[in-house]
This record gives sequence, structure tokens and C-alpha cells, in this order.
Amino acid sequence: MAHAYQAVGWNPQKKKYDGALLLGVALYLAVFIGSGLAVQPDITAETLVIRGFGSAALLLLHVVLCIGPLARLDRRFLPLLYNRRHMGVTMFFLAFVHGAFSLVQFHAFGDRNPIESLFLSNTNYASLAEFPFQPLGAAALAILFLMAATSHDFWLANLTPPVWKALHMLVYVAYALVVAHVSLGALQAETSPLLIGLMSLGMIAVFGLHWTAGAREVEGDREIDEPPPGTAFVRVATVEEIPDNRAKVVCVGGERVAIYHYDGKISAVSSVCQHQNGPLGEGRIIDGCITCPWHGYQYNPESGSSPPPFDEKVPTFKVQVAEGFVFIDPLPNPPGTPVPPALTGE
Amino acid sequence: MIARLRRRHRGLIAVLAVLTPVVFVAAVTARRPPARQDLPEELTSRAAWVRELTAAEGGPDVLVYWSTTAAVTDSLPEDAQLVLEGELPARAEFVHLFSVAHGELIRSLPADEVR
Repeated sequence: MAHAYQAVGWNPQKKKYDGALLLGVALYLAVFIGSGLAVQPDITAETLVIRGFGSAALLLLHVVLCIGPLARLDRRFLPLLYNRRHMGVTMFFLAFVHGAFSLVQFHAFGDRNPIESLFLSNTNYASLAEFPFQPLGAAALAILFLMAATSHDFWLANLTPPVWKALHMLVYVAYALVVAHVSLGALQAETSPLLIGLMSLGMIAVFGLHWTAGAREVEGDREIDEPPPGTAFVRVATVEEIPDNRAKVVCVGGERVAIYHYDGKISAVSSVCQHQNGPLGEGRIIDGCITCPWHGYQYNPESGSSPPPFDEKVPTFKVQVAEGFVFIDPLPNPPGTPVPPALTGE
Repeated sequence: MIARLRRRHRGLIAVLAVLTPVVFVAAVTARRPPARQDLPEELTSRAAWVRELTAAEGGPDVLVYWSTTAAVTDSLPEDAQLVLEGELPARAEFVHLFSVAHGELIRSLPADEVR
């Protein structure tokens, strides 16, 4: 939580996650370089590094982009989301090595400044087959750098989660630039359909998963009807349909509300975690606190406040239970406002 | 709170889900594997013996030189000249294969072996 900043708040899960990540990257590079040398014994070390790190970064970018929708579609993928930031920074590092070696290999031995050469040595923008694909990769790398540099919770808290999220949505622009970079660059000389097929599968996976997860969310975001005249409360669920220590998410006033059922009580808070705007309503009650499924941020269900010494707060909602039905007031209380829970009479 | 951000997210995905495959398909369709006729004249007109020699010894960065003196180090002799269009002058005594990428002499052989 955001009580104090550390470079990395290590815990056993993060260490395991990062260990598996680094092992996977090392294995991929070893296999790539080994098979590259077996197939083309005369290939230079620089070319192997450029291809190996570039393809590793491309693969990891697909994984990073697929984790979000996969976790929304199936909770078993949630552990992958937990430390996705380190995966993103690793992916930037791999892309950076690819870019740095390419810059030296293709632009550093002429009489022009390498950066100037990168952008001006080919200006054939009218031709698809000879399109200057390297500036596209450089633009993607610049976006990935911006994201890696602001990935820490310090920036998340200071930029505010909505601004930080908006900034990090640029990863989709970076992905489009990378696809253009690869298809206008490396694939131009590729005669085998294998790489083209793999790249197509990657795009189908990224956009297909986002589309499916988005469609499911749109379905869940159907607005609850306006409250009947003369009352501020709207009926949102039955007590029975909310599992114990879990929540039902409803959409009122254009925003998602998590209605939690715990210890014979019902409380309602905003479903948006203050950390990374994670889905609080998809979490559960642990040690008496609502626990975000993304990174474990916790909130008291009755006040929407994180337990001391942490200071995150989410808006709360007035709630009533009558004849087995749950009603909430769609007007949110200011973040951290205590609201007495409704008793279910269980 | 973040409903607007969610809408923007969906909009961005929808636009890129259309644009990215279009760029990809256009780029793949425009592919043009390098053809021999695209190579510079001095390379395409190389004689068969030069092509065979360079292919056997390494690849496209290998150039063929001739000289009247033998190479005594791993560098080209001072009087070495590039073999252009497969023409080997009568006074050529030695032929040298030089790797431009590695900046070193790969092999020297008597000119009579390739005549």
C-alpha cells in the first residue's frame, strides 16, 4: 500500500514471479541463440542479439497485453496480473537492447549522427515495401520507456490513478507501432509463412481477448433503473444472490458499485480501487477487509477506508435490506465516509 | 469516477483492432523479396567463377581481388585490385578472398586455379 515508498516492495510472491519471469526470458534467449547458430552457423553475434531480444520483447508484449483481459475472463489468471509491472519493465529492457544494438549495427558506422541517420537515412514513406520501419520501432520504444519510467507507485499516486491509467493506455498505441515496425521491417524479407502466421495469431489473441472481455463488461454495466418517485433507493439484488464474503457489482449513475455480503451484513462501496483502479467488486473479504484482486489493497467495507497506517479511501453508499432484497442510494458518499451496514437477519 | 476512462479504453481498442490488422495485411501483401535484378549491376554481372568462389567461402560480404604479389599477412597485398565483372587480367598471379564485414583476408590462391 502507499504508506511509504520503496524501490520494490519485495515479498515471496513477487520474488517467485520475477524468478520465473527471468528464467523464462533466459531460456527463450538460450533456445533462440542456440537454434539460430545451428541453422545459420555464420550468423554474427550482433544479429543474433538483435533478433533474439527483439522477438523476446515482442512475445512478452503479447503476454503483457493478454493478461488483463484473461484475468477478467478467468480468475485463475489473476496471479499473473499481480506483478505485471515487472513483466512490462522487463519487456522494455529487452526492446531497449534490441533497439540499441540495431542503432549501432545499422546507423553508427556512417558519417551521420546515428539518431539523425535513424530518422533520415530512409524517407521513402510513399512505398510500403521500403517504408522506413525503424522510426516506428523508435516511437514504440519511446512510449515503452515512458511507461517503464512511470511504472512505480510513486508516479501512480502523484499522477493520480486515472491520469496514470490514461498514460499507460498508450501501450496499445505502442503495440500498433510494433506490429507496423515488424510487418514493414523484418517480415518484408520473410519468405516462410510461419512468422506471418504467428504474428497474425498474436494480433487475434490480443484484440480477440480484449473484445470478449469488453463485451462481457458492457453486459455487466447495464444501468439499474432509476429510483421510484419518492424514494432515493434502488433495488439492486437479492441477499441470496451475493455469495458470502464476496460482492455483486452493479452499475448505478454510470459507475460500478460493489455490494459486499459478509458476517450477516451488506455494505456497498465504489468498485474502483484507489491503487490502479482495479475491480474491487471482484475481490473478497479477507480479515474483515475488502481485498482488491489485483494487488491486495484493502478497505473496511463500512467506511471505505484502508486500515491504518494506510490512507486510501473509496466512496461508500447507503444500503438497506428489506424482504430479502438489497437497496442502495445511487448517490455516493465522499470517500471514506462510514455507513452502517444493513443487517440481513441471517 | 472512471466510466469515461473505460469508454476511452474501449474506443481506443476498437479503433486499433481495425487499423492494426489493416496495416499488417497491407505490409504483408506489399512484400517483395529481393530479386537478383534489384542488385547493383557490378554484382549481378559477376562471372560464374566469382559467384561460386564467394558463395563457397562465406557469403555476400566476400569480395574477390587479384594481385601480382602474394599475401604475406592476413591483409591484402598493396597492389591488390577488385575483380570486376569476372575479368582477370593476364598479369594476375594471385586471387584473394577478402571479407568486408570482418576486414580480413580469408584465402589466397594462385590465379591459374580459377582461369
